[in-house]
Amino acid sequence: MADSISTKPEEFTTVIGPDAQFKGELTFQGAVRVDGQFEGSIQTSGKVFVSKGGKLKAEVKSGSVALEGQVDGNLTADDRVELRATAQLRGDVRAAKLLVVEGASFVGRCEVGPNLGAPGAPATRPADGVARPAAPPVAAARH
Amino acid sequence: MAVRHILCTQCDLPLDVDETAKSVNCRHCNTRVITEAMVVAEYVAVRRFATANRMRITKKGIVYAAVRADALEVEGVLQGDVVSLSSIRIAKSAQVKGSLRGASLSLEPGATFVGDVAIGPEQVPRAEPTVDGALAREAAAREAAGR
Ligand SMILES: [Zn+2]
Repeated sequence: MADSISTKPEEFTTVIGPDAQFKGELTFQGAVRVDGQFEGSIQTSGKVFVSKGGKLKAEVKSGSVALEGQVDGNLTADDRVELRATAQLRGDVRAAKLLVVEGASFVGRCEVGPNLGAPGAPATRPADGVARPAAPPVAAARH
Repeated sequence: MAVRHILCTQCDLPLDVDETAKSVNCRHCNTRVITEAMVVAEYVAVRRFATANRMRITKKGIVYAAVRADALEVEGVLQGDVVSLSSIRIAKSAQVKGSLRGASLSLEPGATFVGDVAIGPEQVPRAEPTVDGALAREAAAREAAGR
């Protein structure tokens, strides 16, 4: 996977600083970088970047998401979700593309495919014709 | 003879095997463990499909099974619960449904996956225990048994 989400500081119009705690709804256009703590929901057509020290307890709907910090919550991205080596995610991902780098941890449900992260698609609706697997969690496969 | 350190695909306990061996009997649980790398290019429907080595499901491969491998690459169709001790790579041509457990995951743009995931270094037993570690554990076990 050659391309990756650019997270240069100058690209972010909104920054939640390392000492900041933010609770609420964030709806805007453009890119947000979370270095501090955020609780609530984020909605943007741009990108969301949670840096190494950042903590998010939120529902996120965005163009793309890059994670280096901790997230508790569901992520919906029109394009791509990137979990970098230090990332910890507990929640569900729905996106067109997903990358989980070695070292990152992700526990949750995942719906990824070219038609699954499409703009306008309701975030919570399961993919058409795709049922949840009837099988119990993976642990069962180890016996 | 080069030795490879593996984990039994059934009981997860460490085994040392000849690098060229195609299978080995686990001395812990007495299960026959496949140890050769697999390239799957056909239709496979079994309850459990496991190797203590790499597995690649090619574009022609269609697998309905619980899969266990040291590293897994999917280019074809896979339906079932997956455990990979290291990486799971889902290529753009792949269609995967089930649950994934592994140390790392990459889904190429274009790939389709629906299911539960548990990804991270702590989600899988350690792939290659050091000989020292295994010997130390065995020594400790012997010592404990001796008392
Ligand atoms: Zn065994």
